[in-house]
Amino acid sequence: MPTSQAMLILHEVQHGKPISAKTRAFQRRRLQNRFHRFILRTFRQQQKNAGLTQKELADRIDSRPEQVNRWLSIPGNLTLKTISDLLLGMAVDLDDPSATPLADLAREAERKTAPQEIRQVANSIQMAYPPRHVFGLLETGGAQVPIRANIVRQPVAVASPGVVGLHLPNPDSARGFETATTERRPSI
Amino acid sequence: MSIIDEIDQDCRAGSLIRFEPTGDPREHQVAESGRRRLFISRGIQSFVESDKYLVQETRADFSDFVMGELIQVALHTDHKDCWLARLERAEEEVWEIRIYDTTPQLRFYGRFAQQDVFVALMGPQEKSRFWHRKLNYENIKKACTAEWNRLFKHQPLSKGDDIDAYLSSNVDPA
Repeated sequence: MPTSQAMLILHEVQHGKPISAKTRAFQRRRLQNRFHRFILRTFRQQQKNAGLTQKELADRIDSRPEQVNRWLSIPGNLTLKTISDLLLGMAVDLDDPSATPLADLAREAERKTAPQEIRQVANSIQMAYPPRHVFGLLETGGAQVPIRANIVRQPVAVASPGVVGLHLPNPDSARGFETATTERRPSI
Repeated sequence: MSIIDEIDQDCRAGSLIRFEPTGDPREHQVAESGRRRLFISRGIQSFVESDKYLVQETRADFSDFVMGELIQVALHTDHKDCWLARLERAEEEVWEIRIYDTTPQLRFYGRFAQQDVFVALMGPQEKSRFWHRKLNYENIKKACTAEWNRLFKHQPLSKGDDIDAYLSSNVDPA
């Protein structure tokens, strides 16, 4: 089972330094598309409810109908100034936008995809260890579950079938980490 | 054997790849039943895995398509700006995906296999604003049709001007 997209992005955001140009370009385009869909939906709503036309909207914001048509048709480069003019011209006011932490999306994805058994193990590990010690991916039977915690370093959780545990950072160890299981507390 | 069976066969053979919305943190929020299916040729797959111009914009637009987001669609090419347009003549059933940004823009070509199932066979072609670099649409349509016929025994979906027959939801007719 693959790690969720949200988890992968969150991992890159926290550890990429800097976040790759690819990821930034992808997410920029996503946001552009989302704003464009929002503008388009709002226009269609006002068209239906108030009979607003593209020509009328163009007149209201002192623009050309062809330009308004283009703004409504493709994401392009809608600037904040353009968005503001279009919303005003459509006689609507933007509600406060909200944001969801990527960590929440990652947990949501994990709840949807992780088998019950894996979720129970992940929960028991998180309960057994102080949160600051636990971060990374719990991996067992080919499945991975993100584990939430404050980050000290970036330990990687691993488990082979029948043995569930975490690799936790330990600079005194030759390997740089130690393996912990739910049966004992880590000594970090 | 249905067209979907044929596509499955091509996917197993590696000549088509199902595009997955990797990179979208909300990917898990859209169930399979709410998704459109987009299959891409090996050439397009190589492009979306590359570092070339507008790759990430293409991937994000493809992801939005797969995730069932609102898209602008034109059944006739006199609608200048939209994301997906059917080329003239309609009965040839060759569609153009348009990746807008600064010039040159990109274009991909393909056909609908079923409602909400699109097969992109050609691209990217660069679309410049300069007249002398105009795309040769007749050649593009011929090549796209030939590639379709090489892969499939079935004909593409052909539903005239019934846009809902091509895409079941979230379509804004341009």
